[in-house]
Amino acid sequence: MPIVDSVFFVLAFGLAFALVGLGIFLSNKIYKLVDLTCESSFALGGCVYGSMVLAGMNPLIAIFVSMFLGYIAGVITASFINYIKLDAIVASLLTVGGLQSLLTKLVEVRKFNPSSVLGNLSPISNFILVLIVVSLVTFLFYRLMISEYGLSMRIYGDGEIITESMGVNGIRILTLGLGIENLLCALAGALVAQMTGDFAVNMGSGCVIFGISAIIFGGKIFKSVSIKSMVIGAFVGSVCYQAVLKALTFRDLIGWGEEFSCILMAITLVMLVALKRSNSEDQNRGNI
Amino acid sequence: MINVEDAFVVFYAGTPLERVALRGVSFSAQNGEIVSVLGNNGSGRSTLLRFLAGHISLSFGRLWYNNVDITSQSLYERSKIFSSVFLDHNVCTAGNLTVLENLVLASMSHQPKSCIREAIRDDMEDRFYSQLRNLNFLEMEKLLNKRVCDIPKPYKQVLALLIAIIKGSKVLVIDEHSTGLDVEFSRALLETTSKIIRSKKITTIMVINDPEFALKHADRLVVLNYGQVVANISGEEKKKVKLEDLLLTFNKRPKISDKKVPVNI
Repeated sequence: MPIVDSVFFVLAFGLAFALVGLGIFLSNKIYKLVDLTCESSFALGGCVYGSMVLAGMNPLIAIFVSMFLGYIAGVITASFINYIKLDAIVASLLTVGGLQSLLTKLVEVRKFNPSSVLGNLSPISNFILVLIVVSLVTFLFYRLMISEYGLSMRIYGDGEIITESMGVNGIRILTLGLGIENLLCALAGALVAQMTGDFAVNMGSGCVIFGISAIIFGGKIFKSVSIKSMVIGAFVGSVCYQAVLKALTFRDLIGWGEEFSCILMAITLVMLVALKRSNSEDQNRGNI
Repeated sequence: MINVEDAFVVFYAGTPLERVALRGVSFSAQNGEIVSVLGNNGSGRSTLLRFLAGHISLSFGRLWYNNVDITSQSLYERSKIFSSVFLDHNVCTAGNLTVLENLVLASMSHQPKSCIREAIRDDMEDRFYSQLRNLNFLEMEKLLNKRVCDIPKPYKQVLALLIAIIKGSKVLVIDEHSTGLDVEFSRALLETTSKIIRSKKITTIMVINDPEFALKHADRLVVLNYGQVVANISGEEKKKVKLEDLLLTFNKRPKISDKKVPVNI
């Protein structure tokens, strides 16, 4: 791949991961929960989109189906938390485990259809496609966050008691929020499958670590606590972080190899958190 | 009218740690009445208030509001009628939102919320700014755009009071909200509290660690000991009560000092 194409590819990759960043931002910063479901909903989006397109279906329908399934994954996790009163981490691990089995089955039976568009677009058209989708979704996400409904979502992070005392239905808010988070992750997965022309069951591994580091990274750039700068910070942080990471590991650029991406993410997260601890006045321990 | 009927609250039931915090508390309060709950530490005052606010549920007993049984209502349902101002401000204000956002959210509580319309519109800031200035509490209007977790404690308690008023709650539950403040702040907070609850004629059930204040402002005094009501003073009788006599009742033993917990419903 020529160098210009590689750069566009890497940028498109970063943009697609901005959606994961926004999803993790919602669950981690707004709801103060650790939701691991996005690891599998990312893979779910990618695998469902990939399988459907390979089976010869319309990519537009495929993308909506994968988003819908991502939403359902989030709703399942939220139901575990709401109705069985499971801890968020355990609830999301259960969903991840279940989806992993289903996906393994799905990818096993995929049918190949050589006339598909998957992976056939040039890197520049891919970049433009991803740019349009991601900017539209980010704008909608921002509009939701500053709306009346968004305000009632933002109170959930302060605890269930104050949420319900303020006349906000906590069960509905959590279900919708985790649904949106996983919808975004599934969309990101579908976009990545479209870009790379490849999908695998484990394509979502490391999503949560990535999201958390991206949010911290974004928080370093935009220090204000207003919702506007937090959303922009999550977006910019994810794009920059993932683009740099991808450039380091992408074989046509610096080329350390894909297998390094997870350890790079881990090292960066540790460094970011250590930096944050050493020079901040934020006393909220346990809050990443 | 609020009716608490034979309320039992048991923590860690069926374990060696079992503790009966309320043993058959019964009392009633008229609409608009200010009830002061008194007693020593550990007498069950806070448990009673937490149960009224809906944070914990009863093991046995009933709660009626205007002759409707609301015992088993969830906190979400309960908060249409009840609001709380507690010592722990995390359960009555949202720390991560600004003061303005808290007030805006309170003004649309239990109402359908739009996904498109912006929550904070330009006219709201001016409206709440002038409302806070009219309240005249230690220049609180200047903190309108600060996050609640960053503002001093008395402001948080006043904010919780304002949230309760803006929500249009019928019953206010106050638990030691002035504890841990400086003398000056404490006085300002108590003055504002009595001003608000007097002007809105809101039914109030409060625990205040200042017996003088309780005696002056309350219409009814309920004294708890061992999780049971040992004195319930109202009307003409209450006007004659002296502070010294009141303090003596705190250590009065209830008639049946070890009432058994009824079998679960």
